[in-house]
Amino acid sequence: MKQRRTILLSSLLIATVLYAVVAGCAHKQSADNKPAPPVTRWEQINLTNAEIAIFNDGVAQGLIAANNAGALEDEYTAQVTQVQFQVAAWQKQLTPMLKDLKTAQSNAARIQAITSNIGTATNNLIKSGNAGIKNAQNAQQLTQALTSLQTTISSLTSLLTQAGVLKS
Amino acid sequence: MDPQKATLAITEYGTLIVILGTIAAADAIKIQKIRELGPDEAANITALADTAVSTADATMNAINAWRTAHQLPPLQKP
Repeated sequence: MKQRRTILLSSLLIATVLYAVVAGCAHKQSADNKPAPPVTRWEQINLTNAEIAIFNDGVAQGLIAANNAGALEDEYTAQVTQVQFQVAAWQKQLTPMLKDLKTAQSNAARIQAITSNIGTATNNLIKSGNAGIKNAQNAQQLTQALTSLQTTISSLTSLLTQAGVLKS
Repeated sequence: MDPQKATLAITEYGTLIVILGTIAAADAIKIQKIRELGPDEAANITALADTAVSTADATMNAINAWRTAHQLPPLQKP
């Protein structure tokens, strides 16, 4: 059991490190030898939204791979991936509302509810990580990986607040 | 090497450890790739939205495939 959790948490730790490595600013290509234009707010919002999807998918694929390798119990895998499925489902509903400012403003209440739900679900993931893993050090590593997801969601909320879609 | 395959390593204790770093590496490459934006804002936003939706779909499909393989009912997609 301890070995299985170590395997899972090693993978999640690696994922966290790699995401930290790629953390940085987006940049645009220039056209016709002109200076590259700055990344716009709506590009940044959609970029952050896409990063949440990739991060959520990476953790889910990692959990499934760990389970398939016999490194994680079915019950725990089902519990955590069910929350991740819901996050993916909410994000699929959220994405079209982030098309532009006008669309986002006309769906502000729904966007507020979905981003709040995703944040709460991520908190539940963190709690379930702690509940499923008794070893304090391992639980901390899992929490760290999930906190990276939570941080990206917070970034999206912050960007939407700055854009005037969400209230601070 | 197939990026979806786990790398195997043997610890000094003889324990087989599956390191799933290749999956994380593939995701890191995806993030790096989407940060390379083109000059057209509308095209960038469309591409990023497509990435978010297709990735969310991939997540749900993978989870349901795993659930089906473990005799669990698939979850309802929106």
